[in-house]
Amino acid sequence: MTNSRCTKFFALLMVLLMAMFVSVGCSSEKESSGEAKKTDNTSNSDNTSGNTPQKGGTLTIGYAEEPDSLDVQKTGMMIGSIVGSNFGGSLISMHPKTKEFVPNLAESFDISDDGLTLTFKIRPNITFSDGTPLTAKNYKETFDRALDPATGATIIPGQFKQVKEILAPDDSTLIIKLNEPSAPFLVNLSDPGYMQPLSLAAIKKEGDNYGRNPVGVGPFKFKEWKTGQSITLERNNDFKWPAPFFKNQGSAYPDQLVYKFIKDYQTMIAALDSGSIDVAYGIAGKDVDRYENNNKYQVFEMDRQGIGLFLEMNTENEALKDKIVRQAVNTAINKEAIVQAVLNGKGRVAHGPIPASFFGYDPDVEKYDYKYNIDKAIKLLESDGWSKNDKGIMEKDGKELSFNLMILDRWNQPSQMVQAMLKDIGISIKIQALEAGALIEKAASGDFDMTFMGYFGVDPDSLYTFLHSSQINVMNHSRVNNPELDSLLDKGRKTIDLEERKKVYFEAQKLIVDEAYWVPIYSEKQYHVANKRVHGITQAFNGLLFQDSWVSK
Amino acid sequence: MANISKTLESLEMQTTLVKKQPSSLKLNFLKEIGSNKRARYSLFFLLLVILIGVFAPLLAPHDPEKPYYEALLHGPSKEHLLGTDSIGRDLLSRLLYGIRATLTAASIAVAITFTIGTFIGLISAYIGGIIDNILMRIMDVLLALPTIVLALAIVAILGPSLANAMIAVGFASIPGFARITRGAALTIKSSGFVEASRSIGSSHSWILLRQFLPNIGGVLLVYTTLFIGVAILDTAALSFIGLGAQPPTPEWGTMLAEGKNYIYQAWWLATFPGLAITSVVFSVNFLGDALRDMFDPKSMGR
Repeated sequence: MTNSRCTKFFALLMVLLMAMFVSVGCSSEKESSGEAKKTDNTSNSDNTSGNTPQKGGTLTIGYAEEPDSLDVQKTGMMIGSIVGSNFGGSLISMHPKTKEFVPNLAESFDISDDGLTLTFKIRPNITFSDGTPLTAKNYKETFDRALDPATGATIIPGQFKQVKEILAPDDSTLIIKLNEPSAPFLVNLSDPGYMQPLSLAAIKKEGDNYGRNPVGVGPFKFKEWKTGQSITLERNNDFKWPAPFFKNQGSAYPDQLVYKFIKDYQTMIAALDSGSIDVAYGIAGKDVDRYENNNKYQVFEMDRQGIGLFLEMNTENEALKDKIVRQAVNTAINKEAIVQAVLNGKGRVAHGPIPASFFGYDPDVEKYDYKYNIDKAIKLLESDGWSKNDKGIMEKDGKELSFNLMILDRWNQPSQMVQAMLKDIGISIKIQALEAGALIEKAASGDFDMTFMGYFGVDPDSLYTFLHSSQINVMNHSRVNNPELDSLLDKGRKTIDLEERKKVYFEAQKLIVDEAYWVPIYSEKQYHVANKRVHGITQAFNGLLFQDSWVSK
Repeated sequence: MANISKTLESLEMQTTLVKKQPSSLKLNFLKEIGSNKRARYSLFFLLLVILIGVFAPLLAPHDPEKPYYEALLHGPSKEHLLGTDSIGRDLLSRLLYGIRATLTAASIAVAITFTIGTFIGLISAYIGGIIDNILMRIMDVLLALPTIVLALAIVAILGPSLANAMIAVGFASIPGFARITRGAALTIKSSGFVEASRSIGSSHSWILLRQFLPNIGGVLLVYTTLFIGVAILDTAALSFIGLGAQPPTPEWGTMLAEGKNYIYQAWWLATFPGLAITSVVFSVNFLGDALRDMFDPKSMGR
């Protein structure tokens, strides 16, 4: 039950991730410069240069969540794709440094001048770990399966929205025809987790059990899944088709790759410290200094793509449908204090619904957003007819401003800060900590007053998922039904001219901030920490790659 | 005629017994507490803690719910004697106010346990037979589950809040308490004076309230005291996992949980609430132990 709820949550997260990829031609300068910045921290952390890679050993990775399924087309969880990428691969890969697309499972690829036809030549002699060879037909079947509604695929149907047809004229040629040109499509296609080819024979053989016994073409083979604990993968000795940018062009170095699922953060830290895991995903800013100053560890830093924390208000709530109340809430939140306290300063304040790293971010938002000012917030409420009652809570016509705020456990600290800040202007908040699945379910059905939320993305089209009226009961938790905003978000999807598109989002941003549906709070830095006994970890824009990695004994 | 004199005789016996029991209990209690060092110090410490809790608003240097953003995770200093937490609240003030939540929760939980547990135990012992059997088998089933698991289940149904945590801990401890009461009551049941009261037709409630209760009072007092310690731990445990006191209410278990995540950056956050819980539970148990020795060194002093 919890698992399926989790799935849903991450499915939704991923749905919006791809939703923004879907949007047309958004390879803006801004975006690429944002990525270039990340390239700088792309470290090939072979600190003990001179040491030659050794085969053998086990590389153990700690992650907070456990996947729901290893059928990569059916999982909506990020970790499903992360684990899956180790037994998978993609037609093309993005070079971690140059950000260029290079062929991987395809030996070459070609994009027609109009950008509508993509032709891939599949590399010969690639086999699945069950022995069947990889062909273009096989790749086509893989995508067909994902697009078949009966499969219930989570990610690909959304990312393939502009795909017209997929053809496999011979064993080595795969042609994908698009309705409109799209740069994000290539980014999506380069994901070795979700976009890996599947062995239809294995799926047929395993049936419903496939999700717990997957087969792929990657450097590792699935070995064992201990529910609630770990997934073990073992080296695929036949593997010799890694992306060209890796130094190691043969099979992987470690004998085994183990993903351990450690829900409790403090336990994760303890596991990293004791050496029972080599790599820990998602270390909080407050703990990073400790590892940076310790030469036993290497730290990988990434900027959050999207808004890491924002407060959504239910506009169908009797009090919160009043724009002035929402504006007062916005004015009462001291975001700098939250960034300092929660992130230890390792992140930036979010002024509007679009983070500064995105295309379509309007720097003017820093001028017109709500500045923290308690007196002004109180005056706003008073001008709206609210006054403090003897309990110190704002009241109008016998109705008090008191709300439930839904959170996940990890948002405990910011939620208490928001609670204290809103108390200052006479709004009483009751914090309700929920499981991820339960929270997302309540948020989707509108059964809440306020909730914390965060999103991943790379393009402002993410806002469509959260604020377009067609998304009510899905991800439009605030239940915003604003025709003006709808038309802007529709326009943003369709507009190809970059300048024009930028203006659309500038306008949307201003409207959203003025309507104060959310309180955008911060975009944080994310950290992964690895023990230095692991060499050769490559940092890509969306995670860590282990093809060159080996462990010293 | 003979009948009447017999009745009178036994009545007399009853009154003396009943009179004797409570007064000797009280006297012994005060006298022995005074002479028993362990009991004296523990009781003194607990009373002090309760007083501090009652006068927390006067003693606390800061508002326990007010964050000082300029003082995040500050260590012990002049301004904040025990330091501040991750959102800049004064730890000392929170600890002092925390006494209220923690001790109230524990006492209410124990009150629930005591009332219902004693009732079930007495009824079971007094009536006996099939009723005894049914009640005790139900208790056996519940005893098979660890108290905290039972409490967890109850909170899961009622929803997380401090009040529900008290109820949960209170109800979850009933089986153990009922068994102890029953055991003690059974020894009274077979004693001569109860037989006598029965034979002269004293009402059941009279026998239960005036003969059973006073005579097992010592045992109940000892176990109630010990249960307070358990209840403090259990409510704190529920709060620790987020099912008890809700933020921003200061409660020791919650504070401990919040401090846990900062164990490397701010040792004081987990240390002081932990020490507070430990010392209070320690002295409650000390007191309980001392009482046990006092009341029945032979059967319970082990």
